[in-house]
Amino acid sequence: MADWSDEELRLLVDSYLMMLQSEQAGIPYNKAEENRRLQLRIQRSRSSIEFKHCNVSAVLANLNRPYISGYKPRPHVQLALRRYIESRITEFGASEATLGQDATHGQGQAPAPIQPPAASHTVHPEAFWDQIAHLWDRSTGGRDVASKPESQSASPDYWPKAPRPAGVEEATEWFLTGISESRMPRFLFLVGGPGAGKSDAAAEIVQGLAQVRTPAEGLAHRTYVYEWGEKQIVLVNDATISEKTAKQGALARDINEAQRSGNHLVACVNRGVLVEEIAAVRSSSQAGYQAGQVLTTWLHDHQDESLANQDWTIKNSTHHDYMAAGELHDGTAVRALICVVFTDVCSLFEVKPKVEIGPSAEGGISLHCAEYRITPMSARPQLDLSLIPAAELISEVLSLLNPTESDLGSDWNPIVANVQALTDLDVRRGLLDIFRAGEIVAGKRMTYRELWGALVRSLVGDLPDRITRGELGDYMAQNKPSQNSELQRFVAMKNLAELRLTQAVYGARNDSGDGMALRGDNPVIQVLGPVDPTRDAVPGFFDQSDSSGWSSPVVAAFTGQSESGSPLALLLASVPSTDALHSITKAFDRSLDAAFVAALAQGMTSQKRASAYSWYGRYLTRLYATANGIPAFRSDICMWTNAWTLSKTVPTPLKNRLKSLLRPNRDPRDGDSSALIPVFDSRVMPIHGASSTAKLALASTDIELVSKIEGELIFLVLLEGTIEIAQINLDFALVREAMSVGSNYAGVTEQTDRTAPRLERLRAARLIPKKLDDKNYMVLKGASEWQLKISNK
Amino acid sequence: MAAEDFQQIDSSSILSAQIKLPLARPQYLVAPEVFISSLAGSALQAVPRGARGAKTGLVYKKLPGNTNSAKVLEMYPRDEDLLRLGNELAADGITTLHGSPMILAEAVAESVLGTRSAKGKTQSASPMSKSLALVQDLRGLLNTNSPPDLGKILESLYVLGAPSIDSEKGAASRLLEALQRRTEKDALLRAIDRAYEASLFGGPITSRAPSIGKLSNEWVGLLDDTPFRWFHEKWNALTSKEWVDALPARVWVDWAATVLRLALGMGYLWEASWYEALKKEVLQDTDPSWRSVRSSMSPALSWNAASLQPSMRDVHSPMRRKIIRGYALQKVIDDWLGENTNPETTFETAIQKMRRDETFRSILVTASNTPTNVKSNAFEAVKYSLSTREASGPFADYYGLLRKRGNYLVPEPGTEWVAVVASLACDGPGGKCDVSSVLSDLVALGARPEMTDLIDLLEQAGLARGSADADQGVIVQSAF
Repeated sequence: MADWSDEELRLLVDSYLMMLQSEQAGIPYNKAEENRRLQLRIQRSRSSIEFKHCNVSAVLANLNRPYISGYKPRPHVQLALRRYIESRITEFGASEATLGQDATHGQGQAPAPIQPPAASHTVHPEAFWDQIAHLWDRSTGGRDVASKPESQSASPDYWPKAPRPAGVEEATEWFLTGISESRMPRFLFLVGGPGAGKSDAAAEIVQGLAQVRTPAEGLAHRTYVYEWGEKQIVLVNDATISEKTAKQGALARDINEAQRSGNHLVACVNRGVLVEEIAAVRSSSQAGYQAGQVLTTWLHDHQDESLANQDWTIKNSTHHDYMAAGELHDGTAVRALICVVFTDVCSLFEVKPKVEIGPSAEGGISLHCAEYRITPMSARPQLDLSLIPAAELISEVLSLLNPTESDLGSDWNPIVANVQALTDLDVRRGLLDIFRAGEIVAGKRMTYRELWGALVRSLVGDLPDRITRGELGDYMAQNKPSQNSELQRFVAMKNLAELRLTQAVYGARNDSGDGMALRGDNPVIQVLGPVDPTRDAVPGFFDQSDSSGWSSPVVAAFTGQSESGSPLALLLASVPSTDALHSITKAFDRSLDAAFVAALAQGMTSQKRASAYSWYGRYLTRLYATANGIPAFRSDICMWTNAWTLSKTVPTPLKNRLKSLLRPNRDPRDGDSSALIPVFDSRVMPIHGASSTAKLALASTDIELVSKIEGELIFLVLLEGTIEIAQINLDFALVREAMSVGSNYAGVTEQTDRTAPRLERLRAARLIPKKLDDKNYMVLKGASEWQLKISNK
Repeated sequence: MAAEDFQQIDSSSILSAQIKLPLARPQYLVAPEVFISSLAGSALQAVPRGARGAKTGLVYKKLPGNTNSAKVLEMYPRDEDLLRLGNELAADGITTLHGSPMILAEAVAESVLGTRSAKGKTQSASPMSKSLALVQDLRGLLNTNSPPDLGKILESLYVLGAPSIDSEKGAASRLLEALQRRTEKDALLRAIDRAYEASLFGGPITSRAPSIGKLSNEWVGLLDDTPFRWFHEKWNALTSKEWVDALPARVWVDWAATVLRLALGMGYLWEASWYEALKKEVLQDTDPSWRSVRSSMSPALSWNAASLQPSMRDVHSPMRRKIIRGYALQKVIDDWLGENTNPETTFETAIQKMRRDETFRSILVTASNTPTNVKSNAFEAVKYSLSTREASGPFADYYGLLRKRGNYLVPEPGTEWVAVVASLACDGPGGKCDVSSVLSDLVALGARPEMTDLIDLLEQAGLARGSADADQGVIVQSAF
């Protein structure tokens, strides 16, 4: 379902206000009746309205206003709702103690959160820098284990909550409404890598609940148990934390215990844990699986053959790339309803697919998931950013930051320039496209932890890696450019410019000068460094087409003539006024440009002059490309996203080149020449040109290529006639390698080392006994070739 | 078996015979192909045309500059042999349309060439069939009258890793079955095999019983999670019909040679670690047990992070020290056992007696400080088993674990080495596993790379399939 509209929010808040005022006046009211009344007016489900009412409580709690105790505050509030309530805050009365606060709530009452300032207010310099310093909490690094659930709920972050990964919000809502309404145990599994927000979502579920027993202070624990009426909610907060007594199979034991006790279960599970669990299941000497073994096996692979013929089964199951659901049966009896969210499947930079979870007709679980889609790179400019989780988070963070132009040193301060630039929607869109391109090239999805790391880099560069938050003020003061000489000012500005978002996200500070930035160990730079636009500046003028060039305006800026000698002025003048370059260019950039021009005018050695030109050329290249969302290898990335979109059909330009790569002709200039591979060589490199010694070879007939999709993966299927020869992962590296083919000659790219072994194995697949065709053997010598005849079968 | 399973073994039931591993000393192994040729040669016999007595050594192809003695016979078909090979191929139904039998024979002779080392003066044939396996032997390749019995060594390594006493076949028997199956499936290879046998050997190739006997039965079932068990299991898998049918002929041979190279190299490193741990057990005062010796063994090979400088990753000196001192310890322990124990002496009793023997204790200390700047055939064998030979060119070796970096020798496996180890960790051809399974196999072999390095290697080899959490959950796809 889409976000709530203004009208829906109005009706929701009206309803809440009515109930709150009734409660304050001691007038009885019926929450269920109010919910039903609202359902008739806004076409939202009961649970959705209930959840949203809890969101209203969360906003009021944060504003230190009374709220309805029956709606426990639930964070992750839609920004529009927060703003709407703020606009009507006077209707909620003065700040005072919460109404109807019960003992449990009082005990677990969160301390007053640090209040971000309202976005519409002008921010004083001290307050701005205080805000910026809070970013240090979110720079990449992170914790080794999931934080304790109470620490997350009791200490609300300064920064807004990120939107949940696809399906998490709906799954938690399904869990909470279900355990309120039914005695049937519910098992919720959040599966994925670290940093995906699993423990954060789990903390939200148990927020305000009393623990059955309080674990020892200080350490994060594997399991927490909460009271829930006659039952308990067992939270496996971090399944990577081992049990002292038995390391293997701990999750299966947790599940068995919850099942035997009839308790509800929430489990945050890394995929690595599932691997260990499966090993434990397989090494078990028990004849039949128990509930835990069935469930962990099913989580790992729902098609696992060992699941057949077990007493415990998962029935009525539904599977999607990123979610699954089913019923846990013991024979014919249903023992629990299960919902699983794979939190690391959907990119945070793509449209978040919609999910609906409800009861099935038989009282089980009904799961409807929209298909997860990758947007073609060239179609991303049309994307609605409000549907993209990463965009929503960035938008919320930026809404809290509002530097004034006059008193923050915006003409020399790169951090101010970053904040200013990112408030522009086009710049934000460009940066998001770069992030997504980095994911595609790296073949991995960024987690929220990495997204935060990338966002922090976009705002304050690599400062969190180099100084503490307390040193920020001193650092900026010490690095403020002096007025001593033009050259010194340029050097100082150049140093500060490395904090500019267009430099920092690529790790440009470590750029060796040849445009190949060192990637190092920083996980953000590992993803974004490879798409640094300076690695692949394509001549031409950007027109948004898949194969468009783009770097000519930057080159022209250094070769053209301007009265001021300013490359930036020339560059800005050469692009349309609607170009995002205008939006990303801030006072800082103009100062840097002026410093560059002045330093050149003052005079430098030719070596320093060349170095300054080289550095500033790369700076403007990144500035222009990032603003427009142009990553390195954009055309190849477009081709990859097109191939994913076409699904079963390989795009024709790609297919032709892949064929040249997989089955090159002996003479690439002659399309009729044989395509040959050696029969007995250690590596199956295609045979080109004349052979210096006589050699046995296998000729290849024409091949057909089709593809299939699994999640974000594309698999290329190689067919000879109707026979499938092999499959290969058509990742970015292979697409790039294929697109380097020109005139049927294979090219060499930075990806060649990674693709060569796979390509060879694909060719070698034709040499395995059942796929050998005796009619295709050849003998070569020099440029001659003779067909081999085998008649000894 | 899980990593801790040896802890379940009842130490008191182990005899002193399980102190000394029944392994002969290996020598420098000149080419990867010699592993398969030696193993096949231990179970086959044939007399080459032109052989001058039983001591004639064989090489497939002598390269320019080769000065081997006249007792070393080159089997590469030239002139009349080439014509005979062409005619034999034709007689077996292999002909070219419009080409001559000589060109066909030349193409075959060249196509079966194996790896070639940078300074090597010989080039072996890739032993893809029985006759191709017999065109070279260690006597010829080492140019020596009395080479070590590599076939027997490999059989010993295989038996040491047997999980139970009823393991039915030896390593050579399994190899021959695999070669037989391959030639039955592949008409061209079958014809080449027959043509080589008929043209280069004076009579048919016949079988003989491999010389394994009962030499290592007392070790059966004890050495789980060791290179020996890894070898036993992977050899059984690789010689199964599933894997033979799944791999191209040359690839199968390269993979088989890789398994044998690893078994020998890592097996002898394990042996050295074993004697080192035994020495520690004798010199300390805790209750002696077979389990505690196993537990205190150091990793056979240190595999430091790829991000470190080569000097920090060097394994040359540590390997040399380990092998030389391990062998010195083995000798003195073996001598002592011969004089002080009988077949009924238990392991624990023997260790206690060693402890009480002050002279022996001091001999042990001296042996463990043996200078390491001496020539060691065993070290050479281990080093060259694990090292990449020719790194580039048409006859490059892509199946080495170690590579020279300047003056250092560092763990830097070839892509196909990774493919072999990872694929054999999968549940069969076309199968999958996770990176923890690959790591588990490597640990059994005696090497533990950083997880991130291993994932990088798997990705470079095109075997790792993406996972958002770069941990043990990364899926590994078999190369074939």
